[in-house]
Amino acid sequence: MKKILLLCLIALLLPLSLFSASFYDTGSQQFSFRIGTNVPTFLYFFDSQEFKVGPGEGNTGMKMGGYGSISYQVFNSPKTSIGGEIGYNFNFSAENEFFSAVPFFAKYSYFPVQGTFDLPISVGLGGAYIKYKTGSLMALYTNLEISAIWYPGKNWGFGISTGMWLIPELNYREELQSDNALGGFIPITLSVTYRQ
Amino acid sequence: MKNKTTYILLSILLITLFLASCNMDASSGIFRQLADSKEPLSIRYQQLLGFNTAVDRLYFRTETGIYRVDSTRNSETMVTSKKDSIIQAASYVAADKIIFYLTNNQADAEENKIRTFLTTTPGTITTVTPTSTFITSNLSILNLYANSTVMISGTDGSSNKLFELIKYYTGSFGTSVAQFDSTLVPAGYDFAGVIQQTTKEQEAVSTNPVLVSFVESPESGTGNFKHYLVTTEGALPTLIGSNSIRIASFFYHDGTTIYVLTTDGKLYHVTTAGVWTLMQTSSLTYDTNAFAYPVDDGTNYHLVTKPLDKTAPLHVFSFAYGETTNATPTNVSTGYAKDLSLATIVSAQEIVANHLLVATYLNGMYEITIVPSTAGSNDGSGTTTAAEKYTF
Repeated sequence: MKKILLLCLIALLLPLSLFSASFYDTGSQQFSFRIGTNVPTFLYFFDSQEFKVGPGEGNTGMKMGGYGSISYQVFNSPKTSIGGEIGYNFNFSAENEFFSAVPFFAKYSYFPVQGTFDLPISVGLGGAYIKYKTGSLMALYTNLEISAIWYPGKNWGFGISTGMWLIPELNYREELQSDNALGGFIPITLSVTYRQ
Repeated sequence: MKNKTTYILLSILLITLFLASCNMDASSGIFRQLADSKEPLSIRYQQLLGFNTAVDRLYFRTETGIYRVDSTRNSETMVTSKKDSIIQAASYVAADKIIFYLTNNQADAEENKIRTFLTTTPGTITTVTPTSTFITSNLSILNLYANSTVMISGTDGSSNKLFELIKYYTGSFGTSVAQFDSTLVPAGYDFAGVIQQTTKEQEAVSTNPVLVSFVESPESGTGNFKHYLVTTEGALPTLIGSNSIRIASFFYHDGTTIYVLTTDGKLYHVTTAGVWTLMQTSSLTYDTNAFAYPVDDGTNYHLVTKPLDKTAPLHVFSFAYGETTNATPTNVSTGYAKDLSLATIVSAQEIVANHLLVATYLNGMYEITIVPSTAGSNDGSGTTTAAEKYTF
């Protein structure tokens, strides 16, 4: 099913990419504010090979959360941009304790469709400072996101994004290494973008 | 431009990798804690009071009052806490089907009143007032314990502080269990607490002794403690230590040996002659009267403990019979400890040896079974029920 969806996506975007005119030039810039929710999707514990899926007690133990961020990108070619994003994510656990993550990452985006509608596909790589109760850790962070942004005028655009974040928890302390895990989140965010 | 971009991305990656090695201050992984988190239950246990085995009933105290529950978990209210009468401590005497309890009621405190009722007529509450031939001036109640004793204090003719552990139990009211005069509790010392063994709280001192600690005021002295062992009603308490160690819990092994767990996470072998030998040090901390349940596998003891840090798993000190200098520590978060690792244990009740009811503050009550031979292994052995799915 996932493969079919992926193929459909490629089939849709590839022709658009090949035949659409470039709106952006090298040096064009975008500045975005994003706000939305995130769905704690899975936790995979490497040692015990436990795979916990979905929000709530008995699963990931996290409830639906919130996310806000700012990002800046500059085009290094008419169809690709590089930049960075810093955000703040939170979820409450089943026992109503606060989990937070501050992701900061470099971002590379490809714009197969651009103009009045932008459809950027972005890859991010960086770190995330995660904290829960007395524990905190600077973890790696990566994401893959797709956005749809509508520009009613020349500069301001309004969009929606989703994708997948991955946060590996790789503990340095030996006694915690049996808890090493990979966390996955699906963000659903609305954005306001200014471009020039 | 391409090279510059590559350098920027690589630099960010390297910095991130470096930062990723930062340590964290927790006793289990962040995602593990999240995955194991449980929704708080409305019931907040404070103390398990004991069974009426004749009719299969368990009595317990929560934040809201005293209740009893039958073996099918149907509960019944005995008495509720009220704004100006919040129940602070309670005791259930199964033989006489009677409950005693202390409240924070101002009038009760001023008049040294202990409230009591028969479990057959819970609506009829009366009061009793402890009396003593040892303490006749300025008598006041310090605390009430589940083994039918109450600690009282007062003064002698020379205004020296006196302390006495007496029974308030029907039929033997006022019987002295242990007396502490100014020889045992010098000037500058005050009552610190009575430490009872986990799951043995309801038993008489002759069956399961208690420790009574007094602390020297830091303003007038060093803040040191004097620890007394009380094993026989009416006998002179045995001084087992004058030191700066605050006791969290203990396991009375035999007539001469005590294994003492301290609030700063150390385990000592202590003789009744007062010789303290450090067996194990940990970075954990414990509350006074912390959960510390000894499991005997035939050749070793495994002292199963729950640290104060809610996120800490159960910590087991294992040592061979007769061992005085060394214990092996193990964190146990699976099997019987699965749901207790992220909970605050407030009280436990032994159904039979190694088969317990364990009450927690926010996460309900669990029924656990410990396999003695693997009590000190994090191998998933033993069992636990889901919260509030216990049976007895």
